[in-house]
Amino acid sequence: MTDLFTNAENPAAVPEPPKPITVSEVSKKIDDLLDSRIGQVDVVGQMNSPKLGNHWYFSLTDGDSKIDCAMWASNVSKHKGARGDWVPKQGDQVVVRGRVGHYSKFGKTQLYVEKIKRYGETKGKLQQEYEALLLEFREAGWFDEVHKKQLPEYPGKIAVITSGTSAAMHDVIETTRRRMPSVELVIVNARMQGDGSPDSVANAIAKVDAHASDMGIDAIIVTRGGGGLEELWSFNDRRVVEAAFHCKTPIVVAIGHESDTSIIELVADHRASTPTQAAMVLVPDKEELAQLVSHLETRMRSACVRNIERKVTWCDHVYSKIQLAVAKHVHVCRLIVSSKAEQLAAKRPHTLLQGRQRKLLTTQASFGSACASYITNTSAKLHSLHAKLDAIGPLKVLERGYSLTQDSEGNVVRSASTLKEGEQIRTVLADGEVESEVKCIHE
Amino acid sequence: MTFEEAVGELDEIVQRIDAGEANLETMMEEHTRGQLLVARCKTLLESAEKQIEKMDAKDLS
Repeated sequence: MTDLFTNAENPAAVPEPPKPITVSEVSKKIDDLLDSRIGQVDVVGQMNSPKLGNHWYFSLTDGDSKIDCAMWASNVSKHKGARGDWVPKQGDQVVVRGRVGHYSKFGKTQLYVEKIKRYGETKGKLQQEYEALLLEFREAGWFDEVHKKQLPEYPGKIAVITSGTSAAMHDVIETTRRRMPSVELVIVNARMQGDGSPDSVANAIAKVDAHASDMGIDAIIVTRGGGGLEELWSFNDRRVVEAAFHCKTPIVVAIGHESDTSIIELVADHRASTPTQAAMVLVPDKEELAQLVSHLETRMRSACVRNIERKVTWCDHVYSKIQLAVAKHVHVCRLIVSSKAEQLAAKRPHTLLQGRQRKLLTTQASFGSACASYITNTSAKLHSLHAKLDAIGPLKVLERGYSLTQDSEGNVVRSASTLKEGEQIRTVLADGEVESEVKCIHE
Repeated sequence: MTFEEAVGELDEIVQRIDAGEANLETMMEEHTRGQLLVARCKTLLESAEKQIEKMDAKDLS
């Protein structure tokens, strides 16, 4: 038989090696060994990550160690029949009776549970610590909404505190690249579980926050994948919780877990369910932003068109008003011109002449009529007076043989003293006149 | 100018134009500025993939 792990040229140097066996054979040996050396055992521990279907799967922990457990459906039925409605839950302190075996398919050691019951205090040590811290920070108001900082709308640089080899880190990178490749990521490697984890995470948060300004970091993501209570215990640690609470940079926490909430998630500015979700919360989607920009561009154009249409409508309105005013003014001017034309026409020389001619004719007619009437009246009056005069006048006297003497100036001579010798006198008789010269005056 | 600043200013321009209080000349100037901001936003969105920096928390003093 050839020794597979020694020098084949010198087979005599070692004793005869055992025959190689298969994985299944060694697994069977382990299982037999566990059964013979440990056998049935009662184990006390804290219930962790229970998955209670037909079969129950869970793990037990004491804060330092963990063992996976399986309780087959037949034992579950017996438990339910014996213990009524009691169903173990996360954090319960329990004692189980079972057999330690080796599950060859997954190559792991686990406890095949036959019976389970509460043990001592209902809650385990870790659960009690968790609840005490939760109560302390809640009473201090650290979970209050007033302490939540607003996440940046468009972060340019994000620090990711996680394990440098974790799937969580790849999820954050992948999601960021898909949504907005221009967002810069700073991966800050920290121990996310086990010894030294609380200090590592708390220091990472504090240091990144202290350098956020000069590094241009807009937000912090603290993330890791799922795990059991003891694996995630760092995120309930006072140092980590205090670092997150005092962090001035907006912080998003995504701690994978199945039941309880880690305390860091309650003090963080935002709690995400997965690393991918944490990246989605912080990193805006490029397509959505492109739509936003496109929407704003469309709105701007529409607003411009509306604005111009409003101005055109206003111009039309003003133009209509001007047209109306001009038309009204023209109408008034026409009326004035028409009125002036009428006034002017009335004052034309021909019209004036016609008017005056008409007036003259009227006046003439009136004058003629008045004259005729006057003449008629005067003639009648004269005739009457003549008749009266004739009746009493000098002619009748003259006819009776008297005469009338007038001086050279035509005055009736009533006294001889008014005459002078040599003066020419005229004597009026009934049938004529005689011119004489005064020869001698006798008074 | 960051994307946030560009979008913020673009939003303000849209609101001002929408209010319709500016005269035509100012509005056209704002529109021209808005087009530049749209182009800036699109450039920022299409900008190249940034390098990923990896470090350990203890490297930070």
